[in-house]
Amino acid sequence: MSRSSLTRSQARRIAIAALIAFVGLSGTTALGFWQYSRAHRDDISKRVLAATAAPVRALVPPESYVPESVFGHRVAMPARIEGGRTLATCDREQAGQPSGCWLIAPAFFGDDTHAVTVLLGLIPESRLVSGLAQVRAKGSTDVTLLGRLQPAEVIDRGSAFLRPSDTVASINVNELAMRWNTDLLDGYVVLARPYFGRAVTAPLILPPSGITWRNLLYAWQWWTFAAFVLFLLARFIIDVRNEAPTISGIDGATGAAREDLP
Amino acid sequence: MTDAIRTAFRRYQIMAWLVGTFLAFMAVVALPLKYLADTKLPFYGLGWQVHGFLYMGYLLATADLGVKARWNVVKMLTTAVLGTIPLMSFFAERRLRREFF
Repeated sequence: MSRSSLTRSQARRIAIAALIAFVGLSGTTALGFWQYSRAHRDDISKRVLAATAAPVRALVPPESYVPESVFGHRVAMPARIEGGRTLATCDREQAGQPSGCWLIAPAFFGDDTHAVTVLLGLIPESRLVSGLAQVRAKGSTDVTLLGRLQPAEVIDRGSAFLRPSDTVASINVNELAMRWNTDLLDGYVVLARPYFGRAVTAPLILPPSGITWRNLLYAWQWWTFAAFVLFLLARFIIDVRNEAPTISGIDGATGAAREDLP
Repeated sequence: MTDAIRTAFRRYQIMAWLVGTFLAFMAVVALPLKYLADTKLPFYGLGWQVHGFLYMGYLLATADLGVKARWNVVKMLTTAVLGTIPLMSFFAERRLRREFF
């Protein structure tokens, strides 16, 4: 049998093997690239910062935490800020310096059954009482909420008994939901322009960036499997081509007359 | 059996035992602990990562042995797949040991 030509049966078997290998190769290679893309998160923060503004509901699924991938995402939606329910969270720093209290209030959106915490602005602690009185006097205000989405805080700032009743330790959704007696979305929105007081310029919390080695190694593993699939295909082709010739010019597999025998 | 096949088989044996033992631990201990007892071992994620790398070594050893012993593709593929099923790499190794020795 000539090594350069194949019988119809051999060609068919190789074609089927190549098809199966193609599926395996596509799957493993694609999974490798998927893991590789998950490993390189350097540009996620940039993409989030540059992304078009969206309503909160488009970014956070119902009954869910704010996904890491939308930390810092721009928010734009009609909402009603309930200034009358404003609270403060103090001992905040700005550029490393003690700066005062953040004012926070619920902003209702959609069918008015859900609200998101909004960071209205910053006031010095010495003006806490008068500032709170002024912002509460504004009452309810319909606005187009423009800002950046942030995850709820999990910091512990000491006992609630030692704090004035108009303040909370942190932007803790559970505590705020009880204080405001409403369904609150996890996370909060830092307004692009302060609703009251000065702008908060604390650094935004953005999606984690950098290389995740675990995903990079997974990518490598998938590509090794892809290489193994290629190896098996090559081995199969060699095996088929090296098969012993069948007797009397008849292809053993199909019974068809062989054209390539000497 | 040639020395080349013997050496390749030894390499395969080591990888089969490593993969088998590690996978058995993850499948029989770590997985039930996580899903039945709600206890995630501290190295759970790393464990699967290590298993992945050991399996890569198992694949290479299988391919090496397969080429040297002139296996067909079906046998090579079967041996490779057995390494992904808990405890089955021991079975594959035992079957091959009987075949070679």
